[in-house]
Parts: sequence; structure tokens; C-alpha cells
Amino acid sequence: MILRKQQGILLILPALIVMGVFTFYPLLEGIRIAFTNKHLLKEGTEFVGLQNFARLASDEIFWISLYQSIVLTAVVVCLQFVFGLILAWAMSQELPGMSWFKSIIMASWVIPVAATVILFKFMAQPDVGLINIIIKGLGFENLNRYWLGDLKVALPFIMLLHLWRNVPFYGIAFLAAMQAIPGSYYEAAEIDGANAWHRFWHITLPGIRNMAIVMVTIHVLWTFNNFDFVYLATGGGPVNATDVLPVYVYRQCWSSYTLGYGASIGTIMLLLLMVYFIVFIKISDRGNIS
Amino acid sequence: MAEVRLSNLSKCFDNKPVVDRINLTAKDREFLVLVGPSGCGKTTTLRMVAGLEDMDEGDIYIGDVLVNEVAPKDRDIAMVFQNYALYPHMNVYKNMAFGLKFRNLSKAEIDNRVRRAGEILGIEDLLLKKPRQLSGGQRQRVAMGRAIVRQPKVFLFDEPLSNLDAKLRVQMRSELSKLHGKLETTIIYVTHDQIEAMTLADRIVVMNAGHIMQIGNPLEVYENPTNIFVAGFIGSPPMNFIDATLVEANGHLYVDAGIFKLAVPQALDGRFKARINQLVVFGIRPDHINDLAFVIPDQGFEELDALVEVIEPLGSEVILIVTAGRHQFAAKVHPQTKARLNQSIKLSIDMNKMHLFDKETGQKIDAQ
Repeated sequence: MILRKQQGILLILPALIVMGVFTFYPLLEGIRIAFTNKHLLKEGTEFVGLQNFARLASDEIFWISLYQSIVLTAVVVCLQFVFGLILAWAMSQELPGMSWFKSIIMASWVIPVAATVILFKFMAQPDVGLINIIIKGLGFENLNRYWLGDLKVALPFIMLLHLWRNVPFYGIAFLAAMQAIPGSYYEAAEIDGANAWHRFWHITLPGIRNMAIVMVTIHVLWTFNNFDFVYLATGGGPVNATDVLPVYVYRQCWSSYTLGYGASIGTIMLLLLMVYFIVFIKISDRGNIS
Repeated sequence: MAEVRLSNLSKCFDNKPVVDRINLTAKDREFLVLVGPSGCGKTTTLRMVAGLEDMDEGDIYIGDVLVNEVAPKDRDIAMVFQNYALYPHMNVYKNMAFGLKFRNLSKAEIDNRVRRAGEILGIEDLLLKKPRQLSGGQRQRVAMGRAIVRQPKVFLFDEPLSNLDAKLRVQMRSELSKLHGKLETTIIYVTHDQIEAMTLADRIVVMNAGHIMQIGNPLEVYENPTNIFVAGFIGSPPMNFIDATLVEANGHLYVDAGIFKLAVPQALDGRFKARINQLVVFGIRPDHINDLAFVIPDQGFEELDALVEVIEPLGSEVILIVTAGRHQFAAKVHPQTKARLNQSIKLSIDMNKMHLFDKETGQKIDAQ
């Protein structure tokens, strides 16, 4: 007779095996490779200690990519949060056509990333792209350009891609959280004398706190690790203007074939995200306890 | 002055009237209870007084001020909700102080009011706790505290005890009564529980389907219900209703229910004479039907044989569900009754407490 505890372990064993093969093994192997000089086109791999990490410290492109990863993540997550809140508030109003709107708004999340990038790349084309057609129509001929080829605008344009894709997801998630807040809280606050802003600040925001923590946590991780938008849109260019760490890792591994060095960048990414996660959870827990 | 006057108040939802031309005055410092079944319009009426619902017609006066267009925060009212509506992320102190922050009071004054309310309600030790750390009764006190600190002209209570267990409800009822005595403010209280209504109210407003069925003090409403709805709603167990014909024989009036005939006391003859040979509804409370073995017969008491179907011992009394022919009714008998299931019992009915209602309109039959 198999005990219940053993039955439980047996039932989760397939999931553990899958996680082990596809998550833990690659993770640990990646960290191991970071301490070697593994090269895809060269035979013989040796342990080199912290040599790869020392190289990182003086690699200008690494620091540019790190900086742009952090800026991209911070700006995108903040704007997604704010616009997502505004969208959720708008969707909570009982207006004609709102249920239809709620259904189609998630289209941006459903459309494949590659299709989204192609759409936006086309819109950014000089002369024939929608953005430039509108700009020229408004009389700003001098602003007509390939937006993803502009050093100053390319990264903000990538941010726009993130916002377009993820704001509806934030909106739907926050809407669900808002709808779980009992209406009597707002009524009590109304009688107490709170105006619309006070009710938003003192009731809505605290009410969606847990959802906000989840959304911010996962989107920081997703955005920091995001590879496809930048790689498909600009490849990290023009002239490293949109380089982010995931793309730089990819280039080191599959263009320069220096797996060891690429793995060391990946290890730095892992450490940064772990620190963020620990600090964020501690701050959130303190908020819960207080 | 904190009188609340409702004049021809009406409200519809989806073209169905849920409050239909209500006229009502809650006197200054009165504890007025709106009671009725679910969907009768009592909560909607209360919410219109609070300003949380717009009225379709009619006027509301608080004091002498017409408040139809006045925002809830400016009506000088405070409300206690059924689910307490305590802000979960704020501690008890902040919950109670929240409303005072928007009224230009000094920190000292806010602190003073919160602590004083805390003492009145016995929650001064809970000020730093969050709502999730409190029991149901404590949360209800905090909700009342949040209302008290506002020092409003009128308190509005929307079924505040519904979420509490039976024992706590009894305890909180007496606390509410004491609180009313201390605060001396007008209270409008909504409940579906007629025991709460009877024990708390200075006056009861019985509502049904958007209409007021009767207004009166608890004893009036209990002893002299003006219609069959009030008679059946107030009182536990509810009043027995038996279809009968009012007949006359040998100069006396009788309630003829087919299987049995009960003599109407002569003192009540004048009230019912006009309805001889008409179909009526005979009403008698279970409290006025007892086991004959424990009654000293007096004038106006009638005897009746019935078959015991259900026995519900309550300790201080026993509820019997009995049948006589096709008529089933309840009797509240002495706890030491010898009644046995499926056996006959001799009952004594105090006909001095009888009621007759018109079969068509449900209105009480009284002297013309």
C-alpha cells in the first residue's frame, strides 16, 4: 500500500522532471559555463575562473546594454502601470459598447510578437509608414524619418511596442481587481466626505495592491528578459542605441560564438533579477504587515 | 432638530416601483425601524435618505432642509453598513478618523473624538489593529464608532447585525439600545428581523412591496395589526390564519371553520356584526392557544380538539403544530404539556385576542 505522501510525490514527479530538465539543468549549466572559455567553433573548454566577469567590467557595450535594459524596464513598467490603471478605470464605467471593447482590447496581447513588430516597423517607415503620413499631414515634414533608425527615438519606439502589447493586459487585470472591491467601501467613503481622488487613493489603489504587486513583479522579469521585440525590430541598433542584455547575450553566443562570455552576461542578469526580487518582496511584505 | 421627513418618495428599477409614494417622518431622537421581507424597499428607502440612490419622485427633509440635491457628505448623516465596509488596509483608529480628515478638524479634535468613541464602544484597546484581526462583533463596533465620531444629526443602519451569529446579535441589540440612550440622536434602522424591530424600535414601519403597511410602536403593531401582512410578519411564530365564515346562531357570533366553530366574545360582537355570513380570515396568535390542562378557563376562552403533528420544545415553552380537519396551525403551550405526536390534544383558545381580516383585501375587520 503506497502511503499518501509517496502518492503525492509520485504525482508531482513528472512536473519535477520537466522542471529539472528544462529549468534547473539549463540554469545551473549556464552558470557553470560562465566560468569557462567555451567557444562554439573551438575545441577544448577550460575553467577560467572570473576571467569572463573581468572582461564584462571593461566591456562598454555591456554597460550600455545594462543601462538600456534598466531604463527600458523601469520606464515601460511604470507607464504600463499608469496607463493600465487609466484603462481599467475607463473600462469600469458603464458606457455603451464597453463589453465589446473589453473583448477586443486583448487583441494586442493575442497577436504574435513577430506580427506586432512587422506592423510597427511598417508604420515607422519614412514616407509610406502611417506615422510619417500623419506627421506630414500635420505639416511637420522635417520630422519624416525611419523612426527605428533614429538614435534618439529608437529605444522610446521599442517602449511603445511594449506598451501597446501589455497595457491592455494590465487594464484587464486591474479591472478584475477593482471589481472585487466592495461597492460599500466607496459608499462609506462618499458619506465620509471623500471626493473621487480620495476614494481612488485610499480605496482603489490599496484594493488593487496585491494585483499590482503580481503585475509589476512579472512584468519587470518579462521586460528585463525580453528578447524578441528588440531583436526583431532593430537587432540592438542603430549603433547599440536599442541594445539590451538579452540581445547582447544572443549576439555573443550566436554571432561571436563565445558561449562562456555570453553565459557570464546571463549570470549577471540572473543575479540582478534575484536581488530585485528579494528586495521587492521584502518591501511588499512590509507593506502587508504594516 | 433632526427630524427626517419623507414625502411621496418613489423609486423604480427597470420600470418596476420598488418604493411607491412613501410618506414617513422619523421624529427627533426617535429610533425608527423599517422592517419587511427582502425586496420590500426598506434598504432602497434608507439609501435614498443617505443620498446613495436618487429618487424618481418625492422629497426628503433632514431637519427642515430639503436634501434631494444635497451630496451624501453634506447631509450630516452617518451610515453603518451590513458588511461593516471597514477599509481593510487601515487600522481601527484610521478607519474611525478617516471621515474627520475631510472636515477641517484639528488633529487634537480628531484624536479626542476617536478615543471617546472607542471608550463608549469598548474598543479603545483595538485602535491599532486591522479589521482582519477583529471578530465580527468588534468590526461592527468599529463601524458604529466610525459613524459616532462624525456626530451626525441622523444615524442610518442597514441591517448591521445580519452577519453576526444569534448570540452576538442578542448582545449587540442591547448595546445598540444603550447607545441610542447615550447619543440621543435620530436613528433610522433597517432590518428583516422582526425580533430586532420589536426590541429596538420606538416605532416600527412595516413595509411590503414598496409600500408602508403599518406604522406604530411595537406593542401596537403586535396587538393591533391593521392588515394580514403585518399580522403574519410580526410575531414569532407567526399568527395562524384560518379561512372561515362568520355566522350567527342563538344571538351569538361564531367563527365557523367547518370542522370546528368558535364563539366570538360578546364584547367583540359590535366589531364584526356587519360581516355575518361572509367569508373571513380568522387570525389567532400561537401565544393565545394553550394546552387546556394548564389554563383556567375564563370568559372568551374556547376549547378545541386537535391532532399533534410536530412538537418543538424550546425550554420555556413548547411549540405544537396541530391539525383540526384541513386546518393546520401553531400553538405555544406550557413546557410541561403532555402532548404526544399523532395524538389528540385539548387546546384552549383565548378568543378575546382574535382578529378577523377581509378575505379579499387582507384589511383588518373592525367597527364600521
